[in-house]
This record gives sequence, structure tokens and C-alpha cells, in this order.
Amino acid sequence: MPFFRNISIRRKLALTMTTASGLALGMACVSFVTYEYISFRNDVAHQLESMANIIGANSTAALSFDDRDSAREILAALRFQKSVAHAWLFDTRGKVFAEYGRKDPAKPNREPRIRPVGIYYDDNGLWVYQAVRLQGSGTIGTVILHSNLEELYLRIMDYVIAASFIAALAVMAAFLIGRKLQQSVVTPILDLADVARKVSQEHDYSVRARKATNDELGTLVSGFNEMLTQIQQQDQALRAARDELEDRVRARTMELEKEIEQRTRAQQELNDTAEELSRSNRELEQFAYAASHDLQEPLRKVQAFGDRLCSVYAERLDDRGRDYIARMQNAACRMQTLINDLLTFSRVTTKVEPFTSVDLNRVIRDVLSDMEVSIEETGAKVETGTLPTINADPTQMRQVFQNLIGNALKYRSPERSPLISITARSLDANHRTCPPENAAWWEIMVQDNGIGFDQKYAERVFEVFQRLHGRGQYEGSGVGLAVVRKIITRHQGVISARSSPGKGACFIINLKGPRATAS
Amino acid sequence: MAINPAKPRIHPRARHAAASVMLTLLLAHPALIASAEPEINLEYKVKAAFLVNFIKFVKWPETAFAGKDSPWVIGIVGDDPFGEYLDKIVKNKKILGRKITIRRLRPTCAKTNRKGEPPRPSAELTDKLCACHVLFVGHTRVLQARNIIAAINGKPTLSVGQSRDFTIAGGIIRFYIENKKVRFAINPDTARAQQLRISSKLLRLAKLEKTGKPQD
Repeated sequence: MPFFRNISIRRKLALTMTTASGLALGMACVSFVTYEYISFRNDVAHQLESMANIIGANSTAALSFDDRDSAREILAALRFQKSVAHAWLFDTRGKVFAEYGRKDPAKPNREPRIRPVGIYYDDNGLWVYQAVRLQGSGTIGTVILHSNLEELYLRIMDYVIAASFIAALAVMAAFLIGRKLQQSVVTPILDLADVARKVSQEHDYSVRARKATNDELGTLVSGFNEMLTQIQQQDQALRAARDELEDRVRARTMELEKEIEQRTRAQQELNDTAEELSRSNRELEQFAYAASHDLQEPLRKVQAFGDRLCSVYAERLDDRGRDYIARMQNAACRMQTLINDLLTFSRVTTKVEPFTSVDLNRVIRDVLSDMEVSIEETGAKVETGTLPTINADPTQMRQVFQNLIGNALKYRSPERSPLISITARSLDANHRTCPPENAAWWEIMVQDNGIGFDQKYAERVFEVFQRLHGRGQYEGSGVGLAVVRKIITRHQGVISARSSPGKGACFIINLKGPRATAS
Repeated sequence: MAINPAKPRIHPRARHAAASVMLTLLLAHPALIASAEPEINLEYKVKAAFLVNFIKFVKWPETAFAGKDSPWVIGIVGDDPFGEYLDKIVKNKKILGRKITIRRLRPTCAKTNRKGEPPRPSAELTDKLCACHVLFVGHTRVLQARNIIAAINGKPTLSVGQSRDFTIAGGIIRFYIENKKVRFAINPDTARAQQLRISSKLLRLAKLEKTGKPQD
């Protein structure tokens, strides 16, 4: 019954009640009518039986004295009995003695067949056979009464009509009363449904169903309300948590923004500073270059005129004079070196060549060839491992190794002949924090067994004009390592020193180059 | 035969007159009487049966019986129109546990009779008459029915006669013919006087008459 399943509970209840009461009433009516039918039929049978007895008793004399008129008269008294349609009085020989019949032209009296005493039902109705007994002579005849039960049918018809009417009235009354009564059941359910709809559609958890009764529906409503309360609390807690989270996120975002702003500002400042620094550095370099370049001219004049003094006026001067001139020329020569060194240092950034592929093995070979005399003089031994080919300024690379090998020879230990080893190894990307793009990092080490220095000077050795020893011990301007660092820096590399006094020094260069496999 | 059956509604007086005429004819007809000797006609068969049936619708006082098993006594005084038929129908028949005896009584007159008065039954006859429960008074030449009735006055004897004035004269039941059928009239007053209680059913069938002068 899909129709029944989908209709409102109000209609469902009304339908149920009406159907149930209708069925009950219908069954009651049917039973009532059936009972009435049977009981009335029995009544009629008993009535007819007793009537037959009376007629039989009254007919004894008529039968005894063959008085048919009297017998007919007795039977005629039945005309007041509507239930009796026909009556017969039979004598002992089975012949009709007297008969009675309602005037019915359609159904003329048909003589009934003789049957034993009793009550019979057939299609025509009810038949009562009763013996006529006379004290002293036994059975002297038979009374037969016939009822077509017309009265019964009329009465049953009346009953059916009355019962139908009453049943209809009762069903209507049941429907009306049921509608009143069902409100106590249906109204809370409809309220509940309404509240549930409001909750699900409007997400309003503050509404509550009204509890009107203390029955199961009341319990249901209470349970529902309790559930709503819990949901509402959870909802509020959830909202609160969400709001708090949002606040925290907002606060954190603001903090982060502030931080980013600060960092940006700091970065900007840093950039500005770097720019400033770079500019001033450049200016300084420019200045240094210009100064040293410009200083050469007067110096050259000092040297030229010193030479001329020495060659032309040497005889005219005394030893003291010649000593002065020699000292002057010495100083001028030293200044020349200083200026050259400064120029070299400046040129690292000012006079640049474009990067090309540079085979460091070849660079080392050239350098060693250039320095062959010095190496032979000092009796030094140079060991070189396989070095990579890198993208670099070839001249500057040559400068780097020339300076480093020169240093190693210069600061050799007096106790042992110098030993210089130049090795290289590829670094895994893991070893470097900033991985190169498509390029391996190389570590090139230049190790000597010279006098070394204290590790605390490891940075100082790379500064310009910084010398660890007096001018008398080792000649030099203190620019060589500074130039090396500047070149390496220009090649985006790093150089560091590791040493301890008397244990030799090790210069470690980290340079970007092709991968080890490529070399 | 004199009465037209198609016209049943006749004045009672005319009816009685007709009945008496017919009865007279019946009785007077020599052929009828003659034929009654060897084989009685239907009328007397019916009357014989009625005579027995009356017992069933009349109640006698206890004093009417000598003992518990004493029989019913049907007496016939005067002419006997029933012949052996009556004996046949009562043979081996019991009514209320009593047998039935038929007694035919000779009508004898009393010796001492007053002058100018009709003869009365003899004392012997009177005793016999009084001993009957049912007494059919037939035609006699020696005694008048009136006197026979007078003899049983006050006694529990049901007198049955055939003459027109039988009940008027103090008889209880008289037969008559109506519409070719045997009917009977009853004088309930006489019956009551003779301690007999006649069933209303019987009275219902009968024409009721009173003692006194003739009704017609």
C-alpha cells in the first residue's frame, strides 16, 4: 500500500480507526443479523410447533367427529398468524382433512407429502409436522404448518437496514470522536516533525518541541529535546572552537605579516647596505686603481732620476750620498712592487676576461713551468693529483695557483725541503647546503709542509697588506692571498685555510665545476 | 338431498326443519330400515363411532365406576340401529385403560303406573339405565324417550338420542343430519345436572340446546 505509506499520520490514524471500527461494526452487524436470523427462525419454528400443538389439540374433536368445517375454522384462526402461510390437517389415512392457505394466486396450495413429526427446512421455507393425539385413542391425525419465512426475511431486511444505518452512524461517530482523540496523539508527533524540519532546514538548534503528555510520546519529545540540547551545546562548542581558531589564525597571520614586513625591510636595508657597500667598494677599487696607476708616473720619474743620479753623478757623490740614493732607489723599487700588487688586486675586478673552460691540470703545469727556477732553487717537490676542468677566467686561475705555490715556497720550513701537494675531489651535493644547478662542487687542496701559522690567523692571512711576519724575514706586500680570495670569490667559490705553526698549511678551495664524471 | 349444497347459508330454523324432514324421511323409509338389518348404512356406522368417541370428550365422576378396571358401559335401549358393527368397533378397544361393554336393554314398563300418564320404566330397567355411561335411546313403542330420560335424571349417564326434541326433553346429546352429514346437538345444562363435564371441543362441534319447549 504505497498510498497508505505516504499519507500523513493524521490521515493514517483516522483511516485506521475508521476502518477498524467499520470492520468491527460490520462484523458485529453481520453476527447480529445472522444471530437474529437463526434465533428468529428458531422462534418461528417453536412458535409454529406450539401452534401446531394447539391446533392439534383443538382439532381432536373435529377429527373424531369428522367435522371438517370445524377443523377449517380452527385452521382459519391462523389468519392472525402472519408467519404461517399454509396449514393442513391430515387424518390417519394420510388424507387431507382440512387445509388453510393465504391467498396467493402465484403459489397455490400444494399438498405436502407426509413426513414424520418434526421441523423441516427447504427452499420453500419452514415445515412443521405435528401429530394430533387424543387421549385414549393415540394419534388421530397430523398437523402440518408451513411458513415461507417471508416475515423473517422482511424482518431481517429491516434489521439489515437498521444495522447499516446504525453502523454508518457509529462509524461517523467513531470518526468524529477519533478525530478529537487522535489529536492528543497526532499533535505532538506533528509538532515534533515540525521542529525536526525547522532544525534540519534552518539549523536552528534553539527550538524545542512542546511536551504535552506524559506517555511514550512525551518521552520521545523529552528525548528529542535533550538531543537538541546536546547538539546545540556541541554546535556552540564547535562554533567557539572555530572562532578561536580563526582568531588565532588571524593573529598569527598578522604576526607573520609583521615579521615578513620586518624581514622585507631588513632585506631592503641589507640590499641597500650591500649596494652601498658594493658601490663604495667599487669606488674604492676605482680609486685604488686610479691612485696606483697615477702613482706610477711620479714614481717612475723618481726612479728615472734616481738612475740618472746614480749613473751620471755617482763619482761626484760621496759614499754617504750614494748610500742615500741606493736606499731611495730601494724604497722606490719597493713602492713599485706595492703599486703593482695593488694594481693586480684591483684588476681582479676591473680587468676581467670572460669565463672559458679551463683545464686546471694544464694551469698547474704552466705555473710549475713558469716557477721552475724557484722550485729548483728551493729543492721543492710538487705532487699533483687529477684536477677538474672548470668554467673560469684562465689568467686569474693561473694567478691563484701561482700565488699559492709561491706562498708555499716562500714560507718553507728551514728544516726540511718543501713538499707541495695539489689534489682535488668532487663533493656530493649532500655536503653543500646550496646545491648547484647541473654542476658538482669541487674541493681543491693545496697542502705544504712549511712553517704554517696559528689557526687563529686563518682569516687574517686573506686580508690586504696583512702580514704575519716582519718585512725582514720574508719579502712581500701581503696582497697575494688577498688576490687569491678575491679571484675565488669572483668565481663564486670559497677559500679557507687550515694550519698550525710548524705543521705546514693547507688551503682549501671550493669551486663550482662540471660533474666528476665529466672530467 | 333436499338441501342444496351450493347454498350453505340457510336460516338456522329452516335448516333444522330440513334436517328433521330428512331424518323423518330416513327413518320412515322402509328400504332404509330393511337394509339396516344385514348391513347397516354409513349413517349408523358414523353414529356408532361417534357414540364411542363421545366417551373421550366427556368426563364422568369417579362414582360412575364400580372399580378401577370396570369397563365403560354403552347401553342401547329400544331399537338397535348399529347391529354388530358397534360390537366390532369396541372390541379390544380401551379408553383410558377401560374396556367397553355394550348392553342392550329391553324397555320394560313399571307395573304401577298412574292413570293418564305415560308408562315409566320399570325399577329393574331404571337400575340398568343408570349403570350405563352412555345410553343410546332408540325408538320404543312401549316407553317414551322423555320417561327414560327422566329415569336417569341426576345420574352420570350420557343420554344420546335421535329425536328432534330429545335434548329439549332433557336428553344430553341428539344426532341430526345436516348437509348430508351427521351432526349433534348438546344440552350442556342437563349434562351439568348429571355430573358430566363435556369437553369444550365437543361443545364447539355441537349445536347447543336448552331444556324446555321446542325451539321451533
